[in-house]
Parts: sequence; structure tokens; C-alpha cells
Amino acid sequence: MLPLPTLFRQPLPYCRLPLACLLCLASLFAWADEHVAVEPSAELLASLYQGGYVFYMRHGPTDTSHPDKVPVDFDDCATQRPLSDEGRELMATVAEHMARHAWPIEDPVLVSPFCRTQETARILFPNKPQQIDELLRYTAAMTDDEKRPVIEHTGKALSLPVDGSANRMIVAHGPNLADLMDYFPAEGTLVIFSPLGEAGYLYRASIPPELWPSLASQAP
Amino acid sequence: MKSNRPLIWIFLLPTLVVLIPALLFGLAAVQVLKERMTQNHAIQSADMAALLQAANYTQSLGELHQGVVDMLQQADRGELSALASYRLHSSFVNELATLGGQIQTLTETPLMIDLNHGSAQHLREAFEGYRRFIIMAGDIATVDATRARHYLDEAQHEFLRFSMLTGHLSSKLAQRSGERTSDAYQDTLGHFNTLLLFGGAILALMLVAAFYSARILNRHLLIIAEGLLALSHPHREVPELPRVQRLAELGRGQLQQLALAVLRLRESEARRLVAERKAHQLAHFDGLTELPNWRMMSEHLAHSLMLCQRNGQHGALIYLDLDLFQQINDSYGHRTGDRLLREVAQRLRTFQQEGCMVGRLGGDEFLLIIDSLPKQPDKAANLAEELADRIRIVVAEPYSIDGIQHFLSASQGVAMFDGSSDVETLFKLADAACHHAKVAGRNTICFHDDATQALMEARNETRRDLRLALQRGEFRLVYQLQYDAAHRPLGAEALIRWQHPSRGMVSPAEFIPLAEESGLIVPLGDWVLEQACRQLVAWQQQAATAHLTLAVNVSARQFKEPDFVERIQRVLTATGANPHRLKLELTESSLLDDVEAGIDKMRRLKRLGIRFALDDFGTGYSSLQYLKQLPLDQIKIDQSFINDLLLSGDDMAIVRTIIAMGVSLQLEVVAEGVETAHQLGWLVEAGCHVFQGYYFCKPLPIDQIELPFTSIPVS
Repeated sequence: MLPLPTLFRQPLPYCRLPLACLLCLASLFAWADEHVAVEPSAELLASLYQGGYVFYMRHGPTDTSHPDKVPVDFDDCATQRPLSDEGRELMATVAEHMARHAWPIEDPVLVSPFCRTQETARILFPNKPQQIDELLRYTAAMTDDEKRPVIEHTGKALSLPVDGSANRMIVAHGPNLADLMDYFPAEGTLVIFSPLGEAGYLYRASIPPELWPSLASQAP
Repeated sequence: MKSNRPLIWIFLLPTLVVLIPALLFGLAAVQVLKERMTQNHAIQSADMAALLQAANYTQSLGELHQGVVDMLQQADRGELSALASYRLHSSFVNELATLGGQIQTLTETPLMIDLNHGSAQHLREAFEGYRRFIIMAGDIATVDATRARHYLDEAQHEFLRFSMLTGHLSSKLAQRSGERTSDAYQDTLGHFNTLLLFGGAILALMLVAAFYSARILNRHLLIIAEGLLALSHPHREVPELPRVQRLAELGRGQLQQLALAVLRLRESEARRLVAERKAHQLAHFDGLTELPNWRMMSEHLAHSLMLCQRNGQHGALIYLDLDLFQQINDSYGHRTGDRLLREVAQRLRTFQQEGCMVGRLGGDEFLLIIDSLPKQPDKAANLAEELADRIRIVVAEPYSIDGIQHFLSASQGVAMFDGSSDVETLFKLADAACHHAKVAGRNTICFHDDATQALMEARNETRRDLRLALQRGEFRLVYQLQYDAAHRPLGAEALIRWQHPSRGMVSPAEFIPLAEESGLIVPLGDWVLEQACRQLVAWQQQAATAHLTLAVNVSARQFKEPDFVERIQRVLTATGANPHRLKLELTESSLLDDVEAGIDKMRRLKRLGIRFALDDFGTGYSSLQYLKQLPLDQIKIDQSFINDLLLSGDDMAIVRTIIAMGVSLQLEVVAEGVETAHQLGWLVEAGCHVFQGYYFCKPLPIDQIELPFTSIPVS
């Protein structure tokens, strides 16, 4: 298989259409059909050890009986929809699975300023430093105009090539991806992208929480 | 008229005074109303827009809410994927933001602001609450569809609460909008009324101004019109026109031009009047005495006649002729004569105060017209005579010119008139009466009557014929012999006769005065003298008649000719007659005017041998002083004395005295008009020397005279 970045640098007439269909650029296809999530292949999982990927994690399941206040106060977690107890437990399980695979993760972990993302990141990577990125904030309560900088920033975070042999870890929200690429991952799902620099990013696969046990066999 | 501005502006001014301000005000008022209405329209439009906005907003909100409810129901039924939910949710957020913007706009509308700030705030807060709820609900429904049901009722409740508020607000807005429209209408109405009031007041003010302006203009034009009217009326004095003068001084523009034009007209009218007066003066007044002349008197007379015709009164025309004025003129020169005439005029002028019009015809003739005499003819005539008599007395008072006293008298002819007379006839009648007065003895007043009139006409005819008589040779000489007491012929008196072709023999008493008056007497006298001298020559050629003398009458006029002596000499030379046989008969009047000159002439002639007789002695104002000085040879007693000699003791005494005086002065005394032997006897006895009369013979043509050749010449 040809390296994907090479593929994108070729003129369009030579594109291989099946591959091109996988490309999902939110800015180009605003109301396109819902994105189809795929499970990671063994090869992908194996290549994750070499780094260079971007991991986008939606926070863990939340307590929907405490909705976000409008507007939320980043410093006051009481104004935010918190992780549910079940969510915390689930994320702890995910954390165990990820620790078992031991993919290299870049420092710091990029985190949305919401309490539920920060808590998720802490549960996943208790020893890793977190960098709060306001432009990764939750977009659901924002208008299209308000969202635009957040979505662009998110897109960049996914496109920017990763230095070294680690993978970039982002803990943020589902709506942001829905806005970016019509893909609304379930809570606690890890979405894997290949950053393509100027060309954007390439969706590789999603690992919802319940998928982790089936992948345990491929862990070292 | 030259002017820069057309006169039309003067008449337009009052109209413009009203029209222009009214127009300006009208425009301004329309502008104000237009602005006001535009403003109202803008407000109403904004209010309508606000109401529409509110309605739209409510509708949009309803639609949104319906979408939210649908989404929640679908999510509850699990018909929506998370992504689909999220997309709906995102669209709700966008719409809410749009609605939020609309809310903001709505709250910023004047209507909303006008409603009150609390309402807007309340609305904003309510919306914010609703928005938060919807965002929250949508968010949760996206994250956890099972929770959607939980929010359905609440959403309904929130919406009801909010839509009630908005409904209430809309109604309040509509109400407020209605109020504002009503306010605007009232405001506009107020403006309109104010403008109407203002406009009415201004219009009234302008009308008053225009009225006054028109009144002033009218007054000025009236002044000018009155000035023109005053100038156009017939007048003796040019009207002063002080108002027009003031207008010319104070006025401006056209009016001043008009006033100045009227004043110029007045000046030219004044000049015209002066010229007219001067012309009138020249035409109607006598230059010497400044009395009205014939022309003016005839005009006045015509006027008087008209008055008499109207009121039935009488008037009198007096024709006044100064007696013997020509003698004064001849003796003292025209200067004295003119001064006397002026003095007479001055005296006559005093009668003007009695309503008497005095004029001068020329020469020594004056006219007086008396109006308003009574209707009764006799009373009128009495009054006229009384006045004429007073005039006679006034004229007769002595005049002193350069220290010399002069005496004048006047003959007056009076013609009474009433409405039926005419000017021409009246003049003739008065003239005739005057002549009659003169004939009657001067210093006399005569009234016109038909006899006088007839006489006058005859006299005029005679005067005409007389001029031709000499050329036609109609004059003859007749001779009346003169005798001594012994019935011996001593000579004859040559008497002139006029053989008129149609009237026959005309009496010298009739034509001699006319000849004197016309000056014809001079050539006539020459002719007589020449004829007489020729007769003398004829007599001289026969011994029997060689001693006879011939007496020739010399008229005063003839005698006064400066070359009288030379004329006689010429005739004598021409005919060769013996001057010693020639006798000139003079009257007192010939001598009295200038005694010295007369005496001188007589002496010079006497030196030639000519003898002199004083004719008509006793009838004039004979001055014995003069009689003594005159180189006379004979005096002839007037026949009037001889006629009544034997009937009147007075005449006898007079004749006796004359004869005695003549004898004592060594003058021959001749008795004229001896008709009877008794008269002759008495005269011879009284001592008279020479006799002449019908007793001896009547005047005869020379060829009929039979001379007794036995007579002996008188020594």
C-alpha cells in the first residue's frame, strides 16, 4: 500500500476513488451523510507504536441530569455536566486498556477547558501534564459563527504533523468532531487520525469503550 | 414721462404686499406640514416595522419552538441519531442567536423605547431564559436522547410563559403605537391649527398693510388728479397746488415724476395766464388812461344787455365827448392833452364805485355803462340823467396842469336800453344823442330820441357826400350886397352854397360844421377865397364896380392853419385881386384859442391891405379886452339881434350898445339880416354904418345881381 500522504499530493485524475471517499473534510462537506466509523486494523494498531498519529478522545459518559448551564463557567464545575460515576469507572477501564497497549503519547495532553474533559484526561493519564486549550471547548451551545474558530483550531490540531515518535493526545467533545466531519462519536470513544499537514487529516479508525477488550489480544 | 420703473409696479405694489408674503408663508407652512407628516410617517413606519418585527419574531419563535418540540419527540422515540440531533440543535442555536438579534433590534426601536425600558429588559431576560433552556434541552437531547422526554413539558411551559409575555408585549406595542399615531395626528393637527392661525393673522396683517398702501397710493393719485382737475378748470389765477408740491418734494419714483409733471403744467399754465392777461390788457384796455377800450366796453354792453333781458331791468349807455378838446390839444400840445385825458379818466373812474363801467373810445370820447337801473323806464331815465349831470359837474371842475388852469366841459348823449336792444344800435344812438348835445350848445346832456337818430343818419350821409362835393364842383358862391344908409351898394358878402345832386340846396349851417370836423373846410375855404378874388378882379375891370368890396367868411379851422397868411397871398397873387377890396370875416372862436397868433396873422394881412370883420358879434363870449387889441375894421351884429330888434327892448339896448362901442372904437358897424324899413330906419338912427339883408336883396348868384352903376364909392 502506497503511503497515504503521497496519494494526496497527486493530481485528482489519478486519485483512487475508493480511498478518496474516505476523506472527510468538514469544511467541504457541511451537511454530508453521517460518517461511518471503522474499527482499527491490526496493522494500524501496530503502527501506532511508531507514533505520528493524533488521538482524539471524547470525554467519558456524563450525568445528563446535570446539563451544562448557559453559559458555563470553566472555573465552576457545578455549572457543567459532569462525568457520571459509571463514566468514571468506564474511563478507568479504558485507561487500563490504553496503558496496556502503551502507545507513545506526546506531552502534554491537549485538553478542553471543561471539567469533564480534564477529569477524563486525568483518569486516562494521571501522570501526564495537561494543556488546557480554550479553542477545544464544547461547541454545542455556540452558534455557527461562534464555533468557526473552535472548529478550525480543532482541524489544525488534527492536521498538524506530530514530531518525533509519539502520538498527539487530545481530550475534548463529540460535537466538535460532528461539526468538523459529521461524525458524532459516543462518549469515551478514541478516534485516530493521521495528520496530513497542509492537506488536512485522515480519519483512520474509532475505538469506542466497549471495543477495548477485543483489542487486548493485540497488546504487547 | 421718463422713468426707469414702469408705473405698473405702483399699482401692483399693494397686491404684491399681500401676495408675496402669503405665498412665502404658504410655502413655509406646506414645508412645515410636509416635514411634520414625513416625520410622523417615519415614526409610524418605524412603529409598523417594530410591530411587524414583533409579529415575525413571535412567528419565528413559534416555528423554532415547534422544531424543538419535534426534535425532542423524535429523540425520545429514538428516531434521531446523535449527529442528526446535534445538527438540529446547532440550527436551534443559530436561530436563537438570530432571534436574540431580533429581540435586540426590537428593544431598540423607538416604539419599544417609548413603551418603557423595563419592558425591553424584561423581554430580553425572558428570552435569555428561554434560550438557555432550549440550548440546554437540545444539548441534553443530543447527548442523551432518553432525557428528551424529561424536557418536553418544561419546554412547553417555558414557551407558554415566554409567548404570553411576548403576546402581552405585542398588544402593548400595538396599543402604544396607536397612541403614538394618535399623538402624531394630534401634533400635526396642532401644527396645522397653529399655521392656520398664524397664516390668518399674517394675511390679515398683510391685507391691512396692502389696504393702507393702496390708500396712500390712492391719496397721492387723487392729489395729482385734483391738481390736474384744478388746472383744467377755467380760472383767473393758477391754483397753488400745495399738496402736489409737497408730493413732489417728499414723494419718490413715479409719483414724484407725476407731481413734477403737474407742477410743470401749472407753471406753463401760469405763464399762459400771464400772457393771456397781457394780451387781454392790450386788447381790452386803452393804453393812455388804462380804461377799458371800445372792444371791452362793447363786450360789457353785450353782457349788460343779456342781464337786462334776463331780469327786465334797464341800463344806460352814456357817450361822453369833451367839448373843444381839440383846441387844447392844438394850443398846449399833446402832452397836456394826454394829461388832461388821464385826469378826466381818473375823475370818471370814481363813478365805477356806483356800479358804472367807464371806458375810453379814443380821442376825447368816453363811454359809461350803467347797469341795474329800475324796471320802470321813467325812473331809470331819471337816475341816468342824475348821474350824467353829476358827471358833467365833475368834468367841469378846473384842471391844473403845470400850473395852468384848464376848463373842460363834456357833451353827453344818453341811450337807455333794455333787453331788446343791440350793441351796435346802442352805440349809434348814444353817439347821435351826444352829437345832438353838442349842437344844442355843449356842456349838455341829451337823451336819444328818434329825431336825433334821423338827424344823425342824415349827418353821416352828408359827411360822406361832402367829401365828393368839392371834386364834383357842387359848390356855388352866392353874393349878398351890403348897402350904406343911403341905399348905395358898398360891396357884397360871398356865401357858399352846396347844390346837392339829389337833395338840392344844402344849408351851410348843416355842412359847414361837418366840413370843419373833417378838415375839408381848409380846401373848401381856399376854393371860396379864390372864387371871391376872381369876382373882385371882374369887378375891378369896370369902373362902376371897381370900388366894391367882397367879404369872405373864414372858418376858425381855416384861420388856424399855420400858412393861412401865405395861402391868402398866393390866391391874391394868382388872381391879381386888389387886397384893399378884400374883407375877411372871422368869428370869435377863430381868435379866442390863440389870440396872439391870430392878431399876428391879422396884422400881416392888414399890411397887404386886407380888412377884417368880426362876424356874429354878440353871440360868443366876446371879451372886450381882446376886441380892443384886434386889428378889426368892422363888427357885424348877429342877425338874431336884428330879427327881434323892434320886439325886444333888451335887443334894442344890446344893438345900441354894440353900435356905440363900435363907433367909439372907430369900427364900422354892419347890421345883418335887415328885413324891414323899420329896422333899417331904427338902425340908421342908431348910427349903424352898413346894412345887409333881405330888405335890400337876398344872396344871389353873381349873374343875377343887378348893380346900380350910379352908386358912389364909400370914401
